[in-house]
Amino acid sequence: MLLLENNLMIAIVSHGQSDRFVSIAKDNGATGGTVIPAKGTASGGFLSLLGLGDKSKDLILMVIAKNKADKIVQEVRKDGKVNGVAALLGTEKENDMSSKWKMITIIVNTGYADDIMDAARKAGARGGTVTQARGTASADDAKFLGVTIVPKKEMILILSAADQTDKIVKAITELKCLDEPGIGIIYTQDVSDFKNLDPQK
Amino acid sequence: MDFLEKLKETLKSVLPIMAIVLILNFTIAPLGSMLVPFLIGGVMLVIGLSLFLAGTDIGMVPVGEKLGSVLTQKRNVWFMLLIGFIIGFAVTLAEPDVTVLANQVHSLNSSIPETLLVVMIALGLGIFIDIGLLRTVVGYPLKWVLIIFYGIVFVLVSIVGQSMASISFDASGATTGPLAVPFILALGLGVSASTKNDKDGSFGLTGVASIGPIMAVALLVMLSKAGSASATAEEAEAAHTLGRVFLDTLEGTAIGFGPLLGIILIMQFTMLRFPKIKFRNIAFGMAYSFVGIVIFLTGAEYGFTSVGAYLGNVIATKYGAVLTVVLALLFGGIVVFAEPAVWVLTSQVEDVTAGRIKKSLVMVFICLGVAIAVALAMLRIILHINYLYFVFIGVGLSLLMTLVTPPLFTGIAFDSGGVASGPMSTSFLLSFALGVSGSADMGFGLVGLIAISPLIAIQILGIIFKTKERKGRKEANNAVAGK
Repeated sequence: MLLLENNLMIAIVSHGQSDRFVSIAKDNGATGGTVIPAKGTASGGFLSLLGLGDKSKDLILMVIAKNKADKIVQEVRKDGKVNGVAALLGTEKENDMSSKWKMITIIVNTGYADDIMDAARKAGARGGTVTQARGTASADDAKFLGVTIVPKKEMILILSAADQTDKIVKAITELKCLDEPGIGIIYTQDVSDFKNLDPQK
Repeated sequence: MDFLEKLKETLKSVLPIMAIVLILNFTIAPLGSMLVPFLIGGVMLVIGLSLFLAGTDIGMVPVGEKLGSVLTQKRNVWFMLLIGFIIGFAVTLAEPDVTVLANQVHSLNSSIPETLLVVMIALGLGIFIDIGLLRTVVGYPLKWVLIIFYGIVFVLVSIVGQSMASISFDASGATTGPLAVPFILALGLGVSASTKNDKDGSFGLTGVASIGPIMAVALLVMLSKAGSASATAEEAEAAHTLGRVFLDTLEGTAIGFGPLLGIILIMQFTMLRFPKIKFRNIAFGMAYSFVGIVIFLTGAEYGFTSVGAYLGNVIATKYGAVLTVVLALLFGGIVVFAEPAVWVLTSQVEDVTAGRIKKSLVMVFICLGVAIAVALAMLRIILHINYLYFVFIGVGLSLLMTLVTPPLFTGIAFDSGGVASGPMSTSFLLSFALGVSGSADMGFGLVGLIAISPLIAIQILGIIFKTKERKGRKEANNAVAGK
């Protein structure tokens, strides 16, 4: 199917390494990328209990031809200067019914990410990435002194094994603090490929 | 973990000043018994600054941003103004530096009661936070606000004369303590992020707010029909033990932090309502910031104040004006790297522009500005130049520049003015200047000059940025056309 030949690649790397990643990707057939500053949440334990677990990350979005993805990941790992993960969105053609990985996306009013990640971790998630965003204003949005008010949002991305996804989603939707109308949305997507970018040994 | 990275970054920012002082120690100005306190102070700066920065990221900044967006979403102007005013007023009233400043003014002009002055400065800050908030919401161009109010300031300071003018400008540096600045910065970001105005509104709140104290002091001096200014500034206090300095700093910081903490707590249960774990993290963050800044301030006071005064004295008397000015240039540039609020502002700039304007770039320009300011301040002390010239030329030039600078940079520039003059300036640089001049009178105004210099430096950066981008776009267009 023609439409699937270009896929969205999402890479999450340590803050400041995105330039390196994008330039390697460009050398290997990508046309360009969009970099969004983000926050990685720790995978639990003592540090996150102290509130010190967060790390600055860069989130990179890239539309690439599907057959280039492996090559890019390979080159980045060979280069050895980038730490992070990369995932290719969309269903894999070969065994299209079930992919092994899923991406959970949560978009909520700002301030809830810590609690959501806490619930997700307890349900088996290894970590997540948080970026700041804002809702788009619709025509009937509130005005204040003649200026349209838009709500600030947080977008949380969690990559998880497919068999754990339901449990994580359930844990998040059952959170008490999210129990008000219009607070946000959650959805999952198939991920056809998921790789670590850590340097090759 | 980010904390370790912060430790690495702050180490890099404190090492240069340590290195230069040590080189001087082994060459022309041996520190003697001051060496050990200086080294201890340096270590405390690194640890304190890292802890403070790690804490503001998860404590003060999220609270300020959330408060900003909640205030906007309530859509009640009077409510927003009321809260903004209370925050500005309470925070300033409790700030120990303001009390010190009021003391100085009182010693120069005994007809002004100290309490009245403190209240006036607090009123000034509260009112100008409101002006800044309103501007941010409606997206009115920052440059006109600045030009109008600095115009009034010009008139006032030329009436009150140079020694009072220098104190007025110092007041704007003294009013917002290192715990309050990140909060005010974040408040501005929060308000601007909830409106559909573009990023131009994100910065500038701190810049507008710092006009308030200048006006308040100048206005009060003018109304009180001042007797002639006779400087009888107090002698620098005798050498302190580490424990004594620590307790004093702890007390001062706690008093300054108290009202802000109280306001935040009340708001958490009435309008902020952070969920459980977020709130826990915020509490941790505030605690880190508090402990960090106490360690930092103790280190600066204990290790750097006497060293600064000593170096200023030795170098000015033994090695003459040229070396003094050169060293001032050097010190000015590298000491700013260690100012806590500069770090907070520059990383927010990087966040808001999504990495388009790099933290290091803004920092380098602030450093250049401050370096030149400190060198000029030395020249002024040595040559006895009228302070008003600096104010008129410096601020006048920066106001003219607002007309051509991209608005985002104007905001960053005027905010940097408030943040560049922090505890490092007042402990090390001010002591250095006092050491050079030998009298307290001429030392006044240094903090104000430090606050003025980034206005010009950052706006130059903005203009460079604009021309570069335009050129880049033109080239891109040409490339497309060429195809």
